[in-house]
Amino acid sequence: MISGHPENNRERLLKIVEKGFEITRGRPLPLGATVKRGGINFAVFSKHATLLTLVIFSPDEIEPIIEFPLDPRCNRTGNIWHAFVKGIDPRIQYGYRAAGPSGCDEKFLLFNYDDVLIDPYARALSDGGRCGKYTPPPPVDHEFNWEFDQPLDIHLADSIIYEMHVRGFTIHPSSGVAHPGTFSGIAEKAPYLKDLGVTAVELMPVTEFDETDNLRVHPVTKRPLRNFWGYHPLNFFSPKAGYSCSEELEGPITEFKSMVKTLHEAGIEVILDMVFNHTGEGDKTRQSTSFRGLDNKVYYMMDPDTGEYLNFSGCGNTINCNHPVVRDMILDCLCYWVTEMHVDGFRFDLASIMGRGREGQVLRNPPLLERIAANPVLANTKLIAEAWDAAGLYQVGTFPNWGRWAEWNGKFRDDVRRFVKGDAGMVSALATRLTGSADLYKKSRREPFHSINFVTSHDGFTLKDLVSYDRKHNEINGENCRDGENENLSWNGGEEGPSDSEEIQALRNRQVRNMASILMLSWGVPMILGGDEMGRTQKGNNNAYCQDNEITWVDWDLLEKNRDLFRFFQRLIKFRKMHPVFRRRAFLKDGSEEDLTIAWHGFENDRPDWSENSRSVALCLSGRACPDEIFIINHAHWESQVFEIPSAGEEKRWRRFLDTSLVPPFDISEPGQEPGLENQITYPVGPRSVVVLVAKTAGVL
Amino acid sequence: MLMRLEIKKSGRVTVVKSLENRMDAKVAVDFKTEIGRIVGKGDRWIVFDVSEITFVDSSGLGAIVSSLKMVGKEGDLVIAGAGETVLSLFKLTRMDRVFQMFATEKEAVDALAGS
Repeated sequence: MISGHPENNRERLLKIVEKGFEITRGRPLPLGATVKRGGINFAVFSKHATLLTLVIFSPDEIEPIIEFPLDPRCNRTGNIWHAFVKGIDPRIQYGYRAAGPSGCDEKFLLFNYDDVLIDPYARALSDGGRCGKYTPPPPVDHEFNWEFDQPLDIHLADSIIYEMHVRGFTIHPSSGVAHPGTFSGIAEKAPYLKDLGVTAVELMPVTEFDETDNLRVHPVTKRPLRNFWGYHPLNFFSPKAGYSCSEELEGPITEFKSMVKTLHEAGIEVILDMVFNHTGEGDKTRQSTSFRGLDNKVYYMMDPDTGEYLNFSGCGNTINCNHPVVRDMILDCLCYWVTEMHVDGFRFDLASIMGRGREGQVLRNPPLLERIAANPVLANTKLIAEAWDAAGLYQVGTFPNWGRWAEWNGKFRDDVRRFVKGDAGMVSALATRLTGSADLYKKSRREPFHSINFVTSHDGFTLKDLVSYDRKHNEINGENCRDGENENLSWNGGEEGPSDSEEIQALRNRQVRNMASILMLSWGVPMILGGDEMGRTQKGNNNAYCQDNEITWVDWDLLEKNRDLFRFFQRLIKFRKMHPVFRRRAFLKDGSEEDLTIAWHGFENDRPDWSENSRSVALCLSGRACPDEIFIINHAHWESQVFEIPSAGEEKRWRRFLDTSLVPPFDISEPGQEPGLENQITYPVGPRSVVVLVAKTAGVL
Repeated sequence: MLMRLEIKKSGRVTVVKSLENRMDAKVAVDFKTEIGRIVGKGDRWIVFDVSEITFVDSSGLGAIVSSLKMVGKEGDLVIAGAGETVLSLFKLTRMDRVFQMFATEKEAVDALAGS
């Protein structure tokens, strides 16, 4: 006898096959594993493989149960390998092995038949990075009762975005949710988000990644650091299993959908941060998990002579985004998230890479970006570019857009930070940022809402830290503080880190409110870093990608401690929603009659000071588009100053919406219930303060 | 029938020998049909003699797995006479861990006769 009596294997195999089991030719499209009547169609792309094998696993088994090499004469159409497996348990898991031509040039092709590879179109990976290994995906034929869920279609101009990390948002014990750190946890917090008033959550990467791909250790505890943020995707279709409380293979899909449905019911859209610029396969020294093993030359950008990876992402590899096959995959992926998962928009990480050609050249009209812009399924989907990459390409204001693409406005962040900390020469820049960054978006034939305004994001200091630290404190990231941005444009107010000084604390509280006010009252779309509304700190760490601990976890006890700050954000948001002038859909047209007047002022009416030494600028918004006139004073000087108030006309009286120099609860009023001012002529503005007045018909609250 | 098979009976054991050297999508259905016919008669101890076969594709492998399923727990289907190519394919695909494999038909028949 050649092989022993394999009862166990046989029984396991017989459990997953039915009497009608057979393998036929199958179809090349759709790609992925598609559950059809009576079986599963498998289809995967590889142009350069000469042998491709379908590997089948019994549910939850680590070792494959059986493998089927596909016959290129029968199971291949063009460059797609396919087979239809009839009479097989749909709960099986699967992967592929691929081999290349003998003697193939290993500079370009990196086949290794020993690796079982993830299907790039896999819909679920079990337990992803949580245990440091992936197990192969099941084919997915997912049923979900969406009931009446449909896109909310909130106009981008009306959006208020809240950036958050799925795990970090509720994993802290103080979150009080039943399922901390999961999609369900977010759903449980939907009432909180609704109460705050945001219209969209922007979730840091939710697609599967390996948390253990970080090889560094904590310099003090010596414990391994993790990849917390998740910007190293293993796969673009699979929601991260570690963000699900379910043990089922399809659990993450169900849970993600439930979260979306719940958020939609609360009037909140879901935007996903997608990382199409690189994958978690890293550089060539790391083991292939999917793309590299299936077709390295197609999926990655490389030097055409040496085959070395081009590294525009700073993460070891760069996805060959404008290869037609990769383009198709990205489009298929986006359409999947929109049609099947009901996602409302995407933020594209290092999106400038998506505008590079196969050899890294910057394309004038990148086909991928154009196709995304014009795709009919995505026509109402929010498209937000991080318009730069890690190789120096900076396209804020110039990102190829076809009138569709919005951008993270990095210049807004920098200019507002500079202005608020009191830098000279920032007044003109602030004025531009307050009114939609026309220098960037009017110039590129877009509108104010194509500017996603932010002062803080996951990348960098939290708002609290921005006013508490002059420099980054990234020692615990294990990189000797080489990582993270050095130019933070931050100011600690006189003492580095936590301070017992009441004066410094008061200054910091004011600076936080100043930036929040400018952010929320600027044209464009405000984005809040989740937790800033309750004073979240990362203890000065401005690159907490590897900190899966209290550095990054939202501490919900802060909400009670900083209730007044939450209220400040909440009322600002309400005020923004109440006054359409801040959500303007179009720039003012030069020379034509407008429904809005913007009058710029200085300490005195009609005398704005645009000089280098000026640190103050005020503006008054009036006209048909702004029935309640609004007067905003931005004063970044360290001394108080009396400002003239423009005349609101005989029938109106000025009321105070906010004054960041006042102690809570007097810092901000309930919108619509602003207290009237006794002095309608001048207003004494405290040091480093923002004041917002609103003029209403006398007697009308 | 496209697949030429030689079928003989030895006690309770049925020997099915492929006279084809390719076992692919073209003949997979025939093979399954024949095994189904044999099992239908109540004969569940089957030796599949693959000594003439030099190529098996995924459809062929599928047909063999399907046949095993038809035989069920009350019998067995074993492989006999696998040449180097088929042997390595069975190892590559882990079929060797599912099927008992014998160097010769006689060995296989003896094993099943005494099971």
